[in-house]
Amino acid sequence: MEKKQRPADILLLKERLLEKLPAIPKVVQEAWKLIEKGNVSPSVIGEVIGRDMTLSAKVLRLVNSPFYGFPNRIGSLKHAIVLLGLDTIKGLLISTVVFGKVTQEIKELWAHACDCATTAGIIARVLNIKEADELTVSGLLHDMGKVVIKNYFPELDAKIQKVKRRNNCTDREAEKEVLGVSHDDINGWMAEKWHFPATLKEGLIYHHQVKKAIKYPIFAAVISLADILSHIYRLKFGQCLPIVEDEVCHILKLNPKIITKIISEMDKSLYTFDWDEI
Amino acid sequence: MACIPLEKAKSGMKLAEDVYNHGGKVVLCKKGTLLTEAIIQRLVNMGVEKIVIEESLSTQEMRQLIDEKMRLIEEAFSGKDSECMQMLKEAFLDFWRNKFEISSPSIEVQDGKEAEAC
Repeated sequence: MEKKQRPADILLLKERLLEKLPAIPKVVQEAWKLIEKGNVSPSVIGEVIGRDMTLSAKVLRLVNSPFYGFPNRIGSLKHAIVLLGLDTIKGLLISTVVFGKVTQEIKELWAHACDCATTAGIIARVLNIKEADELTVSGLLHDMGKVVIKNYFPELDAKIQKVKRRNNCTDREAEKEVLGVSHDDINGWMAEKWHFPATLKEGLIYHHQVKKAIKYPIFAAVISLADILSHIYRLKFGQCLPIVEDEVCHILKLNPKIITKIISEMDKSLYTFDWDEI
Repeated sequence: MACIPLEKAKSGMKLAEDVYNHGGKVVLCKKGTLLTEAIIQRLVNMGVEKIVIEESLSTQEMRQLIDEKMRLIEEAFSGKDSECMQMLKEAFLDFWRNKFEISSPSIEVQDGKEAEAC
């Protein structure tokens, strides 16, 4: 029944998709170049980002959102950069590009991304993983491939949704059938094009195949867990859950007590109300 | 219990968690406090971003909510018997049961039908 896409189709899709990706604003490009050069002070980066008022406001809004759980209000970009680190800031800048405008179509994806980001941070803190902020950003971006498909290939998205309803399967299975690839593969294309750090990449690409994450399995495992916990927390009628591999439990050394702790932290932190735009 | 941004707070809501100051060290408002406009304004002035409030549900509403959660979970997890998935399922079932403080075992879902309410 499954229609296999030929490799040529997939290559074509990749080409078209990467072409359609939104342009990275000049200020972000500049900030990135500086970040990649390394050895640059937070105040310099802050100055560059600060030239774009909207962007600065978005970064500060995200930093002050419940994802990070900083007890203090963070008022300056410099402070945000010192607290979060450059890799995280890079991811945050990207998220403002990917989710530039939260339209009705991607509202659900945005809400899930927010939940997953918050949950990834919670898991990291409960398990004492020090890269909590990077994991938060990975959570925010873990479905960016889906956002791109929805935004730029609505006709393909319509097919995916149809297959999903017909087969009562997960998004990922429906994507495979229609596109020949799934959103995690697309995440990989985007991460490569945008030169994401390797840690972030593993979380984005392997959150459905943790076994394949060789370099940073913990990253992939945390995102996989954050993803499913966010789904179960807001479970809807007829929803098809992705499978979490047993590796996730082993890598993170999970036990029922830890999971309960994570769920009750989620319950305190995830917003009940819709969180509109960044 | 529900976490809401302070701008959504209304008088009459009850705090389910202490509200802390900026540094997270000083309690500004005790858990259990009934919010008034004046209190909300004071929290706004102190830069509080979010609060956790109690949701006032009747016992019947709670029972309905828990029944629905249980049913959704049973359904979504059917056929997913791996060790990890089972652990997640049990943790969530326990969590919702505790959250709505239903300790009696009488509302287990049986064959898709709920047992008699006690």
